[in-house]
Amino acid sequence: MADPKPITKLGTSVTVPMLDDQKALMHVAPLDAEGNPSSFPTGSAPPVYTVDNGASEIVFVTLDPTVDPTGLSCEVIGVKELGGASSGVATVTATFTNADGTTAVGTAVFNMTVDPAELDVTSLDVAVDTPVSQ
Amino acid sequence: MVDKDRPAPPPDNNKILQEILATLQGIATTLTSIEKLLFDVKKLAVTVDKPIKQ
Repeated sequence: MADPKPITKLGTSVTVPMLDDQKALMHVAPLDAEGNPSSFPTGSAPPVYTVDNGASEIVFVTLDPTVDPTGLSCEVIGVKELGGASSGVATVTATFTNADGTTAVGTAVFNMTVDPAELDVTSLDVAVDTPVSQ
Repeated sequence: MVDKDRPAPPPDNNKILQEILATLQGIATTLTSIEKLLFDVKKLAVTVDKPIKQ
């Protein structure tokens, strides 16, 4: 299978449609005041990832930041069947704290829907009554 | 009236050094501010790979 290609352009906020049985790797890159590529200062703590499921108490995605110890990437994993909801929005935010306490953030909005294939009939239960005399 | 034959008093070296030091500290503070302005991480660019099956 070919490597997954980025589906979004560089920006501080992107929107991604995703199915409940899918996962996606989110990447962040530091930008300076001019919007040019920068780098995290040596020894600084990596960005922290958080997820907001909006007003809903249902969890639409979970995060696995351990896939990249540098903090430049985080796996975003859909929750099967979205806790019973047919769709939902999860906002994942990466936050980096500078030495002076100021913060830099980047967000990805995941529009979650249930994989239609999960709703398809994939098998039929079969039962046969005890045969009787004709 | 100025006595032209009288030699000028020696410069106060300590005072001059203190003024130079204060000036250098001011420059250092300014440079630090500029560094923060230029090099602090202000935003995080975000990209997301195409979702794949779990």
